[in-house]
Formats: sequence, structure tokens, C-alpha cells
Amino acid sequence: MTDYSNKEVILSVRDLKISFKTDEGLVNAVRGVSFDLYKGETLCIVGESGSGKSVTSKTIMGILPASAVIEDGQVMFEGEDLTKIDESEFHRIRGHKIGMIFQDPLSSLNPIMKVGKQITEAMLVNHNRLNRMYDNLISKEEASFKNNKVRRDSRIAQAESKIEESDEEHAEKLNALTRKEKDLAFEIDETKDPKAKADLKSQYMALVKENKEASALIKADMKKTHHELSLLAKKEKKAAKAEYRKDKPILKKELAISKKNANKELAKYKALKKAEYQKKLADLNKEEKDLNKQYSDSLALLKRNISTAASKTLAKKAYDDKCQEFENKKKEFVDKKEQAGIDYQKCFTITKKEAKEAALNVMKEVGIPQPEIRFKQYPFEFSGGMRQRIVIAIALTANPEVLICDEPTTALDVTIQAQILELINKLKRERNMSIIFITHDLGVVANMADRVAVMYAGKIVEVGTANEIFYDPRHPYTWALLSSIPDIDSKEKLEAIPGTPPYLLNPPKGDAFAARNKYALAVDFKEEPPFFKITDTHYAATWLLDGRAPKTEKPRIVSQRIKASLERAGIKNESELEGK
Amino acid sequence: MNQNSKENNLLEPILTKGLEKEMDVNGVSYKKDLALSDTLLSVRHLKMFFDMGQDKKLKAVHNVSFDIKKGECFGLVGESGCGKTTTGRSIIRLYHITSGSVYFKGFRVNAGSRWNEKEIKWSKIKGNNKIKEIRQKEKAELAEMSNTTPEDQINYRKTKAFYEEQITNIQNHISEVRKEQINKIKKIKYDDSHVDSKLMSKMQMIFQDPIDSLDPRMTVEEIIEEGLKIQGHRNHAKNHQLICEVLEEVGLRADYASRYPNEFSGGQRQRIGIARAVVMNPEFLICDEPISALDVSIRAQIINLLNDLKENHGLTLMFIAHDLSVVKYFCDRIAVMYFGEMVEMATSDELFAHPLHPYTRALLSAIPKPDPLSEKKRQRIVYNPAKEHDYRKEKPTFQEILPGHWVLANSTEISKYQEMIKEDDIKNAKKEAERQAKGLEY
Repeated sequence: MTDYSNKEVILSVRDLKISFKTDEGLVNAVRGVSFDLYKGETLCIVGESGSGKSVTSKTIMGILPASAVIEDGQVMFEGEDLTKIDESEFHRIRGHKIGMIFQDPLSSLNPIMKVGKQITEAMLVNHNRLNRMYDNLISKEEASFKNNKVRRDSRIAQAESKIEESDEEHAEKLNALTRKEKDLAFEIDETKDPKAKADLKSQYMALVKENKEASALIKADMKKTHHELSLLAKKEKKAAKAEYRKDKPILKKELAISKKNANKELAKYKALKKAEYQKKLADLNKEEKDLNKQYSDSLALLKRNISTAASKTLAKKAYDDKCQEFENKKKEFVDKKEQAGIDYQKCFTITKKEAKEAALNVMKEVGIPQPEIRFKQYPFEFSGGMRQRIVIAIALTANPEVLICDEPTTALDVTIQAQILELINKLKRERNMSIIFITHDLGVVANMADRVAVMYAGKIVEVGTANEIFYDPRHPYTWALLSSIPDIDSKEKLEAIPGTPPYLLNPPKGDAFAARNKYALAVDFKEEPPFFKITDTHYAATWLLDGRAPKTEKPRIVSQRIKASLERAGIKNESELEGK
Repeated sequence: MNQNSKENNLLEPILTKGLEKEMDVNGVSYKKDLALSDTLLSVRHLKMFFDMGQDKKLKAVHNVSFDIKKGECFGLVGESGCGKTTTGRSIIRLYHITSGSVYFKGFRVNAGSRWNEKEIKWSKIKGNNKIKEIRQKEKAELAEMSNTTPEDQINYRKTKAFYEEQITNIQNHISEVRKEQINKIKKIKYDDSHVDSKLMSKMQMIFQDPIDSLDPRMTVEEIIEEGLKIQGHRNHAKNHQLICEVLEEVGLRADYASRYPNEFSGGQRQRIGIARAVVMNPEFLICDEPISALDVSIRAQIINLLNDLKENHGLTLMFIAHDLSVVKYFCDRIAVMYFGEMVEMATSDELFAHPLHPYTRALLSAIPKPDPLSEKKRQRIVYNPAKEHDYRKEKPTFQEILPGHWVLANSTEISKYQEMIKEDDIKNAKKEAERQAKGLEY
């Protein structure tokens, strides 16, 4: 079993909350998702549609639609928070460092653009090598400089939000008091019995009196806390600003230095390349000169021969041949010089020819036969599997460190699906990529995953290594998923999950899965379960793991399947399993 | 229901009279032996070609034959574009098929005339070629003959008459064939337009896409009632009651009847599609990938619903899918299709015990299982038709290798497959013995 404690974390999502603005109000699509992605591993995110899988991945790519609001949380990648950086900076990351394969190969390609152009497009947009080098050189300092400002703003915002919260709390309390009054008044109107009416009236008077005092108290408290909190906020603001001001010149200086260094390095690079180019040119010129001399001598000799030789025609022919040879050699040199110029140009920009070569290589890598012909075709001339390969090729051209696959095989057949999965696995091994793989097919998960995160209603409910999730599932939703898919070896009645996932406009109180869960406890409807630790890598958010909960067993169908598959693999006890 | 009794009335005279094998009932072709046996649906040499322009033809289904027994669940598997859906839609008369015929309860419900047209064309071409040959022979023979003496003249006339007779014979044959085939084509056209619509409503279909297959401008009630109205059930109160019953049967509330399809989720829409099919009280239901567009958790609900309906109504099902694990779970018999041809057909246990055709093997090896330990060791078999088969000497035919197990192969391949069956049997027996020795039962 791989030890995850000393593995390098490449991408880390912390407490991400995303909502969508709709006509009916805010829909909380993602409600607090946290996970780490380690270098060289595949993390599978499983869940039904509408559970927030795709939204999470789109946040990482920075391609959320305009109606989405990132309410809270961070996506940390190379020391930068991807939720805070702006669009122009995302160009440096999107595609180059984080690539994405989209769900539908039909609609994710442009139907009126040739496939080759679509593959080379990204390369040609970022054709200036120097700019990219410069960006990469200063990225670290720039990020810390910007993070400084972000830190200050978030600290101030946090302090201010506290004031708002306390105000809202107090307002709620006041509202409750007046509501009580109104209810009583309504009741007085309703009752017709004069005696009861009088009784209620006296009660009402008492209540009004009581409320007056209470509301005065609350108002006083509100004023006091507001004042206290605003003082605190002011202090915090001051502290944050002071820290920001203190760090700013240092960071600015660092940034300036790194910019200077970067410029220097670029100048060095340019000078080096230029020197190389000039040297090459000089060499070529020298060679040409030598050649010229050689030829002019021999040509002069031959010319003299024409007048003296016995057979004039033969001599003339020899002379003409030599002339032709000389011309050819001259042309060769012109070509060579041109090539040197192109090579020199290539050091600074990516040419179309180069992009095409790279695209053809990638197309070969993803297994497209006859890439030269396919390069010039339109997407409609490809089958579904081939189109998906094109989408993968587009994602791979920039050699990303993290690849996000959003249901890449859902629209495909089993045979093609198996091919694509094999291809992704092969590329992962060769390039040591980290992969986030989103799917709802548990068979595919079993094939791909090192670790699995199960999502439901915008939250991760269980996370663990693939073996832990499949052979020791703890969350009732994972049980339900595992027992609702038909198995090849059995014909027992499937245990379908009743109902549909909740609509997240008004997320249910407590555990979101409680309404569909036959193992639900009373506490599930009141309070949200925290994450319970099972092993170092395995966590599940269900009250069933609490010490006070009654002991529940997995459904029979799940435990039987686990037993069968463990027996098939030749493992007798669950304890023998790796990672247990 | 009264629909049933009406149809029985229709069949009564046939059953009582005792007629020959093939005959006409109300002018429509009828096969008695099919009707009397337990075969519900019989597809014979079904071919469906689509015109692609420029005289090109897309051979979506190419020569497929199978029978479906009463009360059976028949699965049709294959990759997309192999003609599964086309087969289903041809059976239910959404296409006019190119060639072949479909018999439902003994009645011919769909047939194509391409073969008959070809027969006329080829008999004409062959006959004309023969006539040409004979004329040449005649010419050669007559040229050698002398035409001087009266004897010679008689001989000359005789040979000429002999050849003339041959030619007229051939011409007669051509016209006979033409007459016969034209009659057959007429019959096919007559059958196509005179099939009893009551009989056709016993066949229903559930479509693949739950979103596109429902009219967005009709309420659920209108959608479900449409078929009933076409069949002449115009009593609205009765229809409404029937619709409410059906909606509850498929797991929806009766008051959903007044809503529009866009108010429902994918799983609920698929249930509406099922209700639309079930309200006609069908005997045969074609399910065209009913679950592939649905979510994981909803899939199991729909599978269980279909299973319940099958048991309650005694339905015969044809289940079209590309997910073999679902088909294995659901079906009694499975047929595997590849590029418009059926390559293997067997009971589901038999198919998984002895997958013979290399394509079936490739398909089985590609199923992802929710079991990481075995999944990560999985060896996928790649199917390459050019490498696997050598059909230069002998064309393959669809033949029975074991009772109930059909495979597309030629004679050399059949002997190879028989050896494979033996090997598989030995392997399976060994595994079973090991299991029993361990004392475990699965």
C-alpha cells in the first residue's frame, strides 16, 4: 500500500462552496467540498447527476458559467488560490498545467473547424515562448505578492461578516417576539366567546409589556455587540492593513528583483541564441566562400579547355554540367541559411509547422491511425470513440500535470470505453500525471481509481482508497450505490435507491441522504454528520459510525458480493487486504 | 379486456376450420404452425438498407433471423451502429423493411420486396444472356449448312424451329417468374396496408431517450391516451380511470396526469414512456436501451419496474442494450450483433459459459466490474475481423453448434469452436470442483 502521508500534494480543494443564481433563488450546488490530489494518482469522484461533481471540476478549470458564485473555499495549486486569480492569469494555468477532457465528444468539438486546427489552436494562441518563460519565472513572487492583498481583503471581510451575522441574529430574535404578538392578536379576532376574549386581551397586554422590555434588552444587547464587534473589526482591519503594508514593499521588492532577474535571463537566452545563430551563419558563409573559390578555379579551367580540346561539344557539356552543379550547391546553401533563420525564430515563437508536427505526434500517441489524413478532416467524419480521442489529444498537447476527465466514456460503448480507459491509464504512467476522474459508473471506478470520493448533494460523504470503498464501504449511500448495479454473477432482485436526489434550492436539514436512507437515524434529520475517521485514508460522514449509534450491518447483497470477489482474488480475510 | 375477445373472434374460424400451413386470413398472410407453436414473434432474413444518396446503400441490418417465444425475455447486444435499434424499429413497423419478413402471432406484419424485385431482374438478365448464346449457336450452325437441295432446306427449317422453341421456352419462363414475383410484391403491399391495427397494438415499444420521445406540448394524460384514442376507445371517463391505474402501476401519482413532460426528471419521464406502452395492454414489449440515459440509482428502479411488469402482465420482452451486465441480469436469451449481422445467439447462461465468436469474447472482456482487485488485472481481448476470420474459401453461415446455441461461422471455425467448448467445460468443471472442495457456495 502506498503511504499517503509523505506523498506530494499537487492540488488541494478546501471547503469549496458554490451556488448558482436562478429565478427561484440561490441553488447550492456544492456545499463544502475538501479533498487533496496527490502527485501521480487517480482520484475518482463518484455520484449521481446533480451531486456537484462537474461543478467542482469546472471550478478547478476556472470555466464556471457567469451565473455561478463562489461563496467560500479555496483551490490551492502551486501556492496560488485558483478561485481568486483573474482570467488573464488563468491562461497560464488552464491547458498548460491543468487539462480537461469533456463529457460529450459530440458537442465539445467545433463542427465547422478541421480537427487539426482544433488541436493546434491552443499551441498557436500561446505562441510566444519568451512571454511564457517570463511568466513562469516570475510566477512564484507574483503569486505571493497578490496573495498578500487577497489575505488582507479576506481578513477584513471575515471581520465584517461577523458583525452582519450578529445583527441578523438579533433581528431574528426581535422578529420572533413581534410574531408572537401578532399571533395572539389574530387569535383574539378569531374568538367569539366574550369571556375568553377578555382573558386573551389581558394576556395580550401582558405580552406586549413583556415584549417591550425584552425588545429593549435585545436592542441594547445588539447595540453593544455591534459596537464591540465593529471595534474588533476596526482593530482587525487595522492589523490586516498594517501587515499588508509591512509586507508589501518587501514583496514588491522581491517581485521587482525577480522581474529584473527574469528579464536578465531572457536577455541572456536571447543573446545566446543570437550568438549561436550568428556563428552558424558565419560558418555557412565561410563554407560558401571556400566552395565558391574551388568552383571558380575549376570552372575557369574547364572554360579554357573548350577552346583547346579536340571535341568541343564534350568539353562544353562538361563545363555546363559543372555550372549546373555549382548552381545546385548555391541553392543548397540558401536553403540552409533559411533553415537556420527558422530555427532561430523557433526559439522565440511556435510556428505553424512545428505545431502541426506536435499535433501529429499526439494523435499518434492517442491511437488515431493515419494522422496525416485525419488532421485535415472535420469532426463529423469521426466515430464517437475517435472523437473522444481527439478531445483527449487536445487536452494532452500542452502536457498538463493535472488532467480532469469529466465522464469521458459515458457516451461510448463498452468496447470503446475499455480502449479509452486503457489509453488514459497508459498516458498517466508515461507522463506521471495526476488525474481527477469523474464518473457514475462504479465498474469504471474500479478500473481506474487509486482513491475514491463519493459525492452526494454537493458534499463528499465517503472518501478512501479504491479497496476500502469497494471492500469495506461504511456510508449507506455507498452501500446503496453498490447494491443498485446488476452483477454478472447473480440474478437477485436489485435494491434500488427510492426517490430522487434533493433539489438544492433548499437543501434538507441534517443529512441530505436521510430521506432516501433506510438506515437513517433520528439524528440524521436534525444534524449534519461530521467526518468519522476509519483509517488514515478512509473517512465517512454518517452518524452510523458514532459510538452511540446502534450497530448496523451492510446490506446482504453488498456483503455477499464483497465476499465473492475477495474469494475470486484468493483473499480469505478482509484483514489480508492491502491497506487494511 | 374486450380487445382480447375481439381478437379471439378473429382467430376463431381459423382454429376451428383446420387449414393448410400457409394461408390468408382476411387477405393477410398467416402461418398456422407459427401461431399454434409457442413462438410469438418470428423474424426471417430481415434486411434493412438505407439510401445514402449517389446510389450508395447503408446496410444497417443484413440478414437477421430469430424467434422469440411467449413469456421470454430476449436481449439484443452490440456496439452502437450495429443495427440493434433498427431491428427493433423494423419489427414494430417504424420502417418499411428492404427484404425479409416479420411474423407476429403467425400474421405477417412487415415484409420487404427487394428480393422479389431482384428475382425478376436476375431472371431477365440470365434469360437474355441464354437467348444470346442460343442465337449465336444458331447463327454458327446455320452458316455451315448449305441451302441448295430441298432436303437441306427442310433440315434448315427444322434446326431453326428447334432453336426458336428453346428461345420461346426461356421467354415464357421469364414472364412466369415475373408474374409470380409481381403477385408476391402485390401481396406484400396488400399485407402492409391491411394488417389488423388491433393486432399491431399488442406490440409496443419503449424508446431510448426519455426526453425526446415525449411530446413537450402534450400533457401526460394526452400522451398516454393517444394510443387508446387511435384504437377507438373514446370514452374519456373510462380512459382516465385506466390512465390513473397505469400511472400508479409504474410508480407515479395519478394526479401527475395533468402535468407536462418538462416537469419531470429523467427517471420519471422514462416511467411515463413505459406507462404509454403498458396502457395498450401489450403482449410484446420492445425496450430500446431504456436505462442507458438514466442515472445509476434510477437505473435499478426502472429495471425492477420492468421486472414487475413482466411478471404481472406476462409480457414477452425484447431488450436492446449495449451493457452486457444488465442484459445478463434481465434476459433469458441473448443475441449478439456486429455490423448488421447476428454473430451469436444463446441462452444467457450458455453465452457466458461458452462465448464462441471472437466478437462476443471481446465484448465480454470489456465489461467493467465493480471489483478493483480483478478489474486492475483485466486482460481485454481485441477483436479485429480481418485477422480473426478467413472467409475467402467459404462464406460463414448462422448455424446451431449446441442445442439452442447459434453462431456465425464456416465449417473450419465450427470445428475450432467445438474444441473451445470442450476446453471451457473442463475449465469450468475444475473451478466448480475447487469451490466444492473449499465448501463455499456462491
